[in-house]
Amino acid sequence: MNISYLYKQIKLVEDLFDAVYFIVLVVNIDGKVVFINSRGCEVLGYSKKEVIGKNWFDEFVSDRVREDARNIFQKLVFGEVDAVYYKSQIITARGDSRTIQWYSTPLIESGEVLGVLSSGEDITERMKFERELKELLHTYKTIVDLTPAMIFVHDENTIFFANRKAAECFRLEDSDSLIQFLMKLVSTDHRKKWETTPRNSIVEKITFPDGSEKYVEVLSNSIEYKEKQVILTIINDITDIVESHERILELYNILQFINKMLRHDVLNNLTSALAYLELYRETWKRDYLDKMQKTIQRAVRVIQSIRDFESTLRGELKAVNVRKVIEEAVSKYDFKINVKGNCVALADDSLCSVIDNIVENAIRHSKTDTIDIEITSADGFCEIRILDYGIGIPNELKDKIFEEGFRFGESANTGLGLYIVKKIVEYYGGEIWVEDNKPKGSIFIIRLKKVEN
Amino acid sequence: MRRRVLIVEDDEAVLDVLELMLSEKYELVVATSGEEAIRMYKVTVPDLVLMDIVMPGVDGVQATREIKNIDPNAKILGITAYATQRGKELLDAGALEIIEKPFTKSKLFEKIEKYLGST
Repeated sequence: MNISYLYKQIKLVEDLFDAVYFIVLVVNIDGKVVFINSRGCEVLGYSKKEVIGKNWFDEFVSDRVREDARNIFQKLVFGEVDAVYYKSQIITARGDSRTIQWYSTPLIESGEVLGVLSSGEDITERMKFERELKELLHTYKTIVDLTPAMIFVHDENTIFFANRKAAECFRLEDSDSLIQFLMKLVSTDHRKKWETTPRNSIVEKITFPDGSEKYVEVLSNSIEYKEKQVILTIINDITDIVESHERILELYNILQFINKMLRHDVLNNLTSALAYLELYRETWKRDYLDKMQKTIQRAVRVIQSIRDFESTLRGELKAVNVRKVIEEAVSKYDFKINVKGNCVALADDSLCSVIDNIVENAIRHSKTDTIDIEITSADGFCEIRILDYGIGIPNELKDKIFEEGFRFGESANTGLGLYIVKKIVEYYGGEIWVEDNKPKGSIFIIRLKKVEN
Repeated sequence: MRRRVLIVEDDEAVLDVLELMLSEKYELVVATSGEEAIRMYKVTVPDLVLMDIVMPGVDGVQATREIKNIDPNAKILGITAYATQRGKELLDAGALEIIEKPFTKSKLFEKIEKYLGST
């Protein structure tokens, strides 16, 4: 074999190695580089001349892994292992560290180890991407587990994933009924029943397995999960928001109502008072002064009603001795009023006005000669029954008497009394209604929350 | 001949003072609700209507609209404490003008005479 042919063969092999995209490195038993391909030089940032002849471990391997790399090299040289697949870091001409996945085998000729042949792949970017992906997955997992929303990944038959909150709120072991429940929530037919928001979500009240009723926002979407088309359903508990919204609306309505009372009812009375005064000045008839006094008293009553209502809205509810309040409310009447029983209820000082209003209505409109007030308690509530034996209230008016602006009878008042009474009782978390008394008259029934001991 | 005025007012005291002030000069017809106002208009055909706005059931705005449907030439004056938004609605429904509460007798006559003349 002539030298020229041999040289050509070597050159051919070198060209082949230069054409591949992975690093090819040959290090002799002294640790010096005898061959490196173009890709190796590209990764290192040196020319072949700058690399060949240099000690690979001293010049190019990172300090952190130098000893490990030498040990692997020794094992290969001394025949302890036939091949090694390992990761190692090299330092480039730019001073940065690159991670290389190496596959190394000893170079043996006639039974003698001449060095180590390594092929390597620069996996720095892949490692970085994998690390970022791992961090991202960890972040998502943390968010998904810590979010107050209930998250499900499911289809018509299986629940593939449920986050921590979902597991807390639903019985995952009862998967059949849970899937049925989720599918009903996200079904198209069901969605049509609800107004969809711009986020393509629906809001509704649902009952949880623990029996609690909550307002939830349900968002659902079709997603790909483990190469399958499945449904992602997110359920947000928005009970607090909905209840706050309802409370704001309620307060807005109350504000509007108070504003209307002040502007309309008080102004009407003052308009009349001023007009009576004008007529009195023209005629000097005393009758106009009496009428003026009455209208001013009516204006005062409206303002007192607003004050009662406002103090209920502003104050805190407390335990109230119902009998004591009733006795105080009826003490001003020179009328036969019998009070029986007692109970401690959740209310405030305006309960006195509530009772006063009903008693005054009974005396004024029903033509009764007696009023009985019975206080009883049962199953967590106090019941106050105010019985009269007068003309009674027609069935068609039983609900209307609690409406704003309702007036009835020849000496009708401002039309605010029972409307405000109902509002105050409802604010206590109670109820008020009217029934027929037998054989005649009416019974006003107020049911309040009982305070135990 | 005395001109006829229909007073539509659900507040007992306001109605009373309107009657006291106007009865010396006008023949008065009274309605205490929007429904009654529409009915009374058809029956009595008044020369002018004094219309309250805030009333339970059919309110002054609806009643004005109905009366203007029956008689596009009906002269309706609003009497209200709500001279802003609801007052505007009453004007849109066809009322000629709004008399704001509280009013004086002279103001009341001035507005009525503007549309009925001083005789």
